[in-house]
Amino acid sequence: MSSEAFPVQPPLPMGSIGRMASGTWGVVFLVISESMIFAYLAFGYFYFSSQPHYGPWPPDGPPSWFYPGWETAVAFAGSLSVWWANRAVARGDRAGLLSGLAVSLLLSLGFVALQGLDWYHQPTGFATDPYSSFYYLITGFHLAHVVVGVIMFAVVLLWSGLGYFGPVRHTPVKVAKIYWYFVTIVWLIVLFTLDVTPYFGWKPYQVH
Amino acid sequence: MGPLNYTVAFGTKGYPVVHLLWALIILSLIVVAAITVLTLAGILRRLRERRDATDAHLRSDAINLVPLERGGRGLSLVYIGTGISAALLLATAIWTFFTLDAVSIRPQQPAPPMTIDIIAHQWWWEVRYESSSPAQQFVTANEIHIPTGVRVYFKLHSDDVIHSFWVPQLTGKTDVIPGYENVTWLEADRPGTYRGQCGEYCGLQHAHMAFAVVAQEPAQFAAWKAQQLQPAAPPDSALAAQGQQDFQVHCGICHRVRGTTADGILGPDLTHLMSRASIGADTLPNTPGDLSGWIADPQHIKPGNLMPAVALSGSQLTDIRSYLETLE
Amino acid sequence: MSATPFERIPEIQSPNPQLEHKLEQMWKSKPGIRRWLTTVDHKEIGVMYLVTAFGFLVLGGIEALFMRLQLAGPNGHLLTAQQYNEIFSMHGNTMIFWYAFPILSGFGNYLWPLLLGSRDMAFPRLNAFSYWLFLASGLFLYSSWLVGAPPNDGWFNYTPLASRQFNPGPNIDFYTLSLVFFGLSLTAGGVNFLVTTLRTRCPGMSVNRFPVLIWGTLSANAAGLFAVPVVSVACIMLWLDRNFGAHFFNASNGGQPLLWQHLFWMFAHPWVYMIVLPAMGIVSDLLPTFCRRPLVGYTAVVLSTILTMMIGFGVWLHHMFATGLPSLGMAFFAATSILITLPSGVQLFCWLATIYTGRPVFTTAFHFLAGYMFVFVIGGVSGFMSGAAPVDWQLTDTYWVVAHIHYVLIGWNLFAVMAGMYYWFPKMTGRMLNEKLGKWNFWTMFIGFNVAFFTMHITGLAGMPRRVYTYPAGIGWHIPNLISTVGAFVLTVGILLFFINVFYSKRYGVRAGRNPWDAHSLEWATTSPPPPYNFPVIPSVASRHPLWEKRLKEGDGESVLERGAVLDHHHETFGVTAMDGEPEVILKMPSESYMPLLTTCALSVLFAGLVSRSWWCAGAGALLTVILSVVWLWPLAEAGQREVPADVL
Repeated sequence: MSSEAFPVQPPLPMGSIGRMASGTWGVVFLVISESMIFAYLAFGYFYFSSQPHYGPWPPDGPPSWFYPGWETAVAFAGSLSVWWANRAVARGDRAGLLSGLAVSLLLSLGFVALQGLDWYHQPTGFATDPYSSFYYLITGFHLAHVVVGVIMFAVVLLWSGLGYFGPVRHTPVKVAKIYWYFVTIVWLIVLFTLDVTPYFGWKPYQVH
Repeated sequence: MGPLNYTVAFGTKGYPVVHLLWALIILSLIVVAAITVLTLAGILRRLRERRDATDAHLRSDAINLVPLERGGRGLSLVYIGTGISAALLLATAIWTFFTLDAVSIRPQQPAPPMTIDIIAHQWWWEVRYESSSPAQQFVTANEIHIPTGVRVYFKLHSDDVIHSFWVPQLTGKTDVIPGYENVTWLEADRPGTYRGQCGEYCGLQHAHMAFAVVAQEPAQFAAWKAQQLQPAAPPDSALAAQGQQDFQVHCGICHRVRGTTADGILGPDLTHLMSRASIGADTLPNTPGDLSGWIADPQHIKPGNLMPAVALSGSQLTDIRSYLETLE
Repeated sequence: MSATPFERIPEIQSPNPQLEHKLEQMWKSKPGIRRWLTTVDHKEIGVMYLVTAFGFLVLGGIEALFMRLQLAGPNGHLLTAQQYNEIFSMHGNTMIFWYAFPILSGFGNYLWPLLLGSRDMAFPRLNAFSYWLFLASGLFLYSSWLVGAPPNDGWFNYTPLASRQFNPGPNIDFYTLSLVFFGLSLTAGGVNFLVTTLRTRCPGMSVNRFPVLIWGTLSANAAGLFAVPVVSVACIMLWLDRNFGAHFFNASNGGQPLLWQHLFWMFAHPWVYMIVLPAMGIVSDLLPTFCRRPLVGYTAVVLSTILTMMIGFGVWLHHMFATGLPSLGMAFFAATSILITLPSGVQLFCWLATIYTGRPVFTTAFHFLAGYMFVFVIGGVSGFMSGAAPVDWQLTDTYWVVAHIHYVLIGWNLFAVMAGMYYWFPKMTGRMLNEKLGKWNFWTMFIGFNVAFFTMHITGLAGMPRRVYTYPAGIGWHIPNLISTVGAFVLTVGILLFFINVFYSKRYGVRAGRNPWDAHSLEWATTSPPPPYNFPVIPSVASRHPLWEKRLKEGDGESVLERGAVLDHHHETFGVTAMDGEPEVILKMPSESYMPLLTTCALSVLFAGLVSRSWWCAGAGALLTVILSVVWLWPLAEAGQREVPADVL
């Protein structure tokens, strides 16, 4: 009979700690699942674009890069600021945490505004044609995830302001970081689908 | 078994498929039998051990008394079974490829001998005989005549939802999809009437969306076709003439009878209604009584179908039916 | 070495009454009705899952009996066409979505922490949430009867028949929204199962020691995370088509009807494996107990499980062989569909070898397992026949496929579920199910099931299409249909016998000790029923069969079940390394909460608003959901989520 059931000698950390927190693992699997949404949306988009009888796709030529370009920049800047906030909280730098999260919150709100402006300037509506339905569907799904990011940043900022987090306990700050990285990465999928692939051999419609 | 039984086939498209079907059925039955016998053998082995053993534990039926043992050589059974399965599966896949090749559509050189355009509606079949010369084109419904020994091509279109074109003893299903043109073919090698049925759930009256493929010797087919090309004969009695008038007023918005002012396209073309064996997409036999019943209240017979019950007096009903009976 | 305030060395003890009393006070649920509304105990949630899923089985079964009565003879008129179409659609949705997977989640929830040697799932409140979502989405689906508009387009709901143009009522809105609603439950459950397997286990529970049920449920839930989003996306797209004039699926509106089929089957084929792999795991775990030997080919079974799930994503097109695919695509998908049979075959041969080289004990559970072999092979061969594309052009959408799907769903799922119920009922209630009644239960179910559904193969070969509300006389369908109806009623009697057995044995059954079957896995090491904290001390395992290892002389070292870490400061369990099961953290878990139920209510308001097109109501539901989620996730000091040293608490 082995004398000791449990051979671990060093003390074990307790509770919600960084990589070992269940919340961290949970959000990783959640964003993997959410990413699939965008993979399937892209499948639908390319399925339509590959149907020969649709003529040009998009119908009015490749979309403008103006808003998507700014949105890309804002998404990456948000990733940077939330990374900064995480670095700060791990070092016990409260001011850095709060400012990093506040900047992330503003950037995520900026993304919402840019997407709104982009929609506002679209010549077509949701129900105009299959392309526009897809355009609004895909950007809309992404926007919904950005809005969740806004809420997340706001709440985590509030909690940070209440002094809940420190160098050991700050899983929600980490969760917000992972989530916003995901938002940024799937934005790249959206960008590639909607704004890059139309440049691969888009031809104006030929009347037969 | 009945007219849609697809374990038999008549024609060059049906044969390779039905051979594969039977091979798979037999193979499947053998596999089921083998696994069942092996399972029972394992059970019998234990029963015999329980009967013959002298050791009280081996004789026991109490689970905690039966000894635990890591019995040997189980994996060899797994290897053998998996090996045999893999070989059979591979053979099946290869046979499937050959069958696919035998029945698939190939570009026709020269043009296919005969093409029929099928337009599926909720819940009936429009049949358009194509020809390069307009004088050789005609339209009918729910009953498709073909000559024996000829590869007949079908272009499949849908007017509304997805249906599936299926004549079990001549060809498997090909879906009829709105916005697409699907193509299939079949060939009957002997005369006969082959029942077809919509094979994809298409709404309320999916159950009543059958049709018939009538294969005839080429000479008979030519005669049938010549007759179909004719416009409707003029009414041969006063009753029928009155019926034609009433038909044109009450029914002509949806139905067409070539040679009259009834020119609707929403329902089946009735120019040669009496040449068809059934009505309502094979819902009723085409007898005078059933025809009257159908006209009087189609919603009772096939609830939800798109033919409304038209308010007709008894005499109108009679003379319309008399007129329809002239549409040979 | 001294611990920081955020660390401690777990105390090692043997179970003692003092400790058990302390843990009992710490872990037990609230009394009375509040117990069921607030519980986060995986065992109670597991039982709620099982009971609710059986409830849906009964509902779907009643619908089935109506259909069988209608079809017992030609030109039946018990039901109108409309009623029949609604009933077959609800039957399919109920059984495939709200019975078949949740019943397995019920076993998973009840058993996982017990099998893995932990105190609860990784996210206890999320676990309750996934249950409430499952229940609420099912009630939402059934509320469609109240407004007289249940889904009426079958369980795969093809467009454009499902478009507003051809289906103007709210029927299909109930379908799309209830699936999205249910998808939330699946995602919550999936994340929870994954993190639980990877994180909350006992020391020594390395991946090569998992019971096969863990592998089956893990594969299913991992697949769910990849497959569920596609059906949610497709349903949202269809809902937008129907309510906001989008152009996705309706051909007359510029849409692509076949895109729906692709998206649906990209989800639904993996789904079919999701609802059988955990059941196959049950078979793999039960056979060793009843054959008195370890499973033959554990590694092969586990790899086959994972492989089946992966290939399951690559066969969806075989549901669309008749849609006019290019020959090359058809050949590829025919090949994958035929070859996916092989890993299932490997599992079958492993079971067969286990029976053949073991010493079967003929309990009711073993009867169901042996019956499972028979129905499994029939469901398997009828499936592989459908993989041969040219043959499938005949088989598809006929009663052949109806027979096949029932062999898979009843045969591959329900028979394993029944075996599982006979096996684990003693663990759940402390009493054995009656064996004599059990044999009757088995034989009526087995005979009734095969009479009803084997006959449907014949009906199918005779050319009867599925989903017809009636059929004419004289075309050879009457007799087989009548036989199927009789069989369905015999099957019903069998299932009723099961319920009678449950109610009888719950009260009068023979008392079960800890391990009435002399079984091999960890759940049998604790009392029956287990205490709320599962194990007074966390066991540590050194082999695949901790309760058998001494007799089998296996394992590297010895499992220790009677002495281990106490973990009694709060709701605590070990967090371990993913592969080897080495403890690396003491996880703290939340206790009872109303939040999962309240958040589900808020989401129900949201979905009720969407289906009734009351946007203010939907908006209120969404806002409420956000607020409640924030309250729910508020960092708790006692769960170690705030920067407060543990020794202060």
